[in-house]
Amino acid sequence: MRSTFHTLEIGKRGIMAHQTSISTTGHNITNANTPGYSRQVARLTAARPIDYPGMYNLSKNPNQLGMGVEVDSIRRVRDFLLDIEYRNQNTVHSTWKVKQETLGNIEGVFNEPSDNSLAKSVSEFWNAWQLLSKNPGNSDLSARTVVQQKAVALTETFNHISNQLNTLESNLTERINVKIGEANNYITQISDLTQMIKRIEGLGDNANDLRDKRDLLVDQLSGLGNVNVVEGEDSYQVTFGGTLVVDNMAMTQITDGDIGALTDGEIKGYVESRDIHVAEYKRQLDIIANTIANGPVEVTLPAGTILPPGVSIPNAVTDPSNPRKLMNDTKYTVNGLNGLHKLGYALQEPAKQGGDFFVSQNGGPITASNMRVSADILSDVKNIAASMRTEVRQGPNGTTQEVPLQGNGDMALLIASLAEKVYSFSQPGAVTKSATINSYVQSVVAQLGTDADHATKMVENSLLLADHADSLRQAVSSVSMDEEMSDLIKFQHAYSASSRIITTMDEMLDKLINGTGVVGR
Amino acid sequence: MRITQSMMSSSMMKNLQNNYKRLDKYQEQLMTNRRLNRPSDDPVGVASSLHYRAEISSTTQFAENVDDADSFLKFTDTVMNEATQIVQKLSELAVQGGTDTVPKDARENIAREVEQLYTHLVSLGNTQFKGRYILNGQRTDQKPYPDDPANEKYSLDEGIVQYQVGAGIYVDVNMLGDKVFGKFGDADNLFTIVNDMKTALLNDNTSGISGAIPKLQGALEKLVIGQAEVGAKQNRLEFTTSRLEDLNMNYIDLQSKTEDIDMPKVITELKTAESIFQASLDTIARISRPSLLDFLR
Repeated sequence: MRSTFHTLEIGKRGIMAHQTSISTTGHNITNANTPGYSRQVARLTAARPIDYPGMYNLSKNPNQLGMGVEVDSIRRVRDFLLDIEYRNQNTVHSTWKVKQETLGNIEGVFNEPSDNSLAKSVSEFWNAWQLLSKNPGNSDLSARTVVQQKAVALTETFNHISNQLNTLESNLTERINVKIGEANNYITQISDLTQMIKRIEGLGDNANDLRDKRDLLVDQLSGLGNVNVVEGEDSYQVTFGGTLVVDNMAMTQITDGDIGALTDGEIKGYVESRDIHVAEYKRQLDIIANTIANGPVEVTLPAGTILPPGVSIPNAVTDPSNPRKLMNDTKYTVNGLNGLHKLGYALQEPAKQGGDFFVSQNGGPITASNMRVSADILSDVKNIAASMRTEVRQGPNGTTQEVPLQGNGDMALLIASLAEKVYSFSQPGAVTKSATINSYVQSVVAQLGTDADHATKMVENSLLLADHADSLRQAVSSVSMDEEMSDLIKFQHAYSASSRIITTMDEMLDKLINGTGVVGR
Repeated sequence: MRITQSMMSSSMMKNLQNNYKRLDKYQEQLMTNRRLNRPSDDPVGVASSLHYRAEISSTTQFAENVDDADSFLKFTDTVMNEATQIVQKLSELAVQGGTDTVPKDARENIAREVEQLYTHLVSLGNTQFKGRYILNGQRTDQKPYPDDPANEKYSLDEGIVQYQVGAGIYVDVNMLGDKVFGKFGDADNLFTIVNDMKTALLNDNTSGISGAIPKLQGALEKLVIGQAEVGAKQNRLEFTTSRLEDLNMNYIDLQSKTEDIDMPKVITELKTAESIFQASLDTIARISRPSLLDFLR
């Protein structure tokens, strides 16, 4: 048997349910621009009907009397598969963004093509030796000064670029540490939220806004590295790289050692930028510096050259009357500028063999950062060897001594010609086994250009994919003003209609209570 | 697919960004006047660009070397010219002095003039160009001829001074003294000839004096051959100069084609990018405004 106030109750339920719907709509509208917000929908269901046995029915089965509406749950509209897709794309995009930034920095450091660059310093250095070849003697020491100065400029260019790359490297290490801290921050917040969500949902509610917050944090974490979220009935696990960072209530922070397992993301991007890209160009720069100074290269010593004492060249034909004098043009492989320079004579009397031209500041093998012009040459430009012939001459006090022929600029010519000679590059990681210095530099710069261009294109492509994944997400979860507005109208009308039901019942009951049974009052 | 306002505004922002990027790119090109501002702008082109720059640098240097070689050779030519004139004068004096009718003191005067010319020849031989002795091969800091080369032994260096004027191309710029005046002790040594002539004049040795004439003629021919050699080298340098100029022009042209912008093209692109940009701003303003709210009550 139906109760008296049954319909009142139905009206009341209608009002309350639609009130809830309207506030959900209001919540959606006010949060339309909140990042990470997914729209919420109050699910209205018909309340459980009750059995209503009829008075006059002939069947034994009771009817079902409707009991109005109730709000079953307030759910957020979100597709977790789209989230996974977005996070993957976001991680890849973040990697390339970081790499593009680094490669752009490296391009800036090299500053090619321009008039203030390594290639230019090298050209000017070779040209200085041409100048010396025309002025090898005492009559004009300014050419020697030019050679000395251009050599210093060359070593300073190498030092400068190398130092900037080193600075870039340590900046990247800084960034990695900062990003690890950032990731741990996100992990802590995700873990806290998981605890709160568990508590709330344990009571049977939907912690929609907290879940939105948590998903947003996971999105941000995915920018730092590849994440994998596994959610079950009762469990929530987040894996970052290879580490299980959030496991229900438990949390693990990541450290330096864990970043090796990352496959993508900003942290991996910084690691690769530092360990692959910056390291690569540092290595190439070192190879170039080392090869200019000491790399094997074949030159042709002209006939008439007087070899310094103790130097013997295989297969050389020497003058029988002077075993140090070459009869013919002789091919010989020397070890770079240093090796060649040592075959010549400085502008000193008695004749002094040339020494190392480039040295390393700390005594080890020559690299771009430690390459310097030798102290001998810095202190006296006459120590630059330009001549390859000596003769024995009578000294002022009757003694004889060996002196260099000042008008012979063969060493300067040979060194200048190194610009066109093919060197052997046997260092690990050299881009080619044999090339001229200029073409090696060109190859390195071209490789830099290709790497940077590739990174730029990958950033654009991955951004397109990430944006597409995001817009698919937005299509499902974001708030449409027009939708909410029309829902608002809908719910408002329903609210008014429900309250009309109450009014109707009120009148009816009034009639019943106050209008019946008053005969004779 | 469901579209919402926030999706529309974020996609509008992304497209606006792309338009900005395009504008930025063309503006940079116009302002630097180069399309190759960093290696990634054209990875293949940058290698060529560096190559052309290197070539321009070395051809410019070679052109400078050619100029220096040319001035050295010109100077040598001047010296040899002067020597030639002196030898011609000596021939005249020999003819004069060899005449039987010339009195003794006239011959003495001629002898003194010959002595002056001898000293002048020696100082010509010891000429310096930019502080270097030009006839002593590579021994450029040592005076080639002693004060009396007819009687004091001298030995010149035979090294050739070379300048580089191209990749693997060298040019000899000096003239060996022995080719101009002859080796010490040779019969055709000019100093010996002049010295003998002076002695003959002082001794009234008319046959000795006349005998100097054919010898002087021989010395003259030698000088002329030497000058021809210098002239030939200068001619070769002229060809080299014009070749280097052409080469340089070529490289500069190629470098420009690789690095520089095509001005009309970039301006057109920039204008297009600007109008696209304006259209996009207009679209944003147009679409962002109305929503259902504007039409309800």
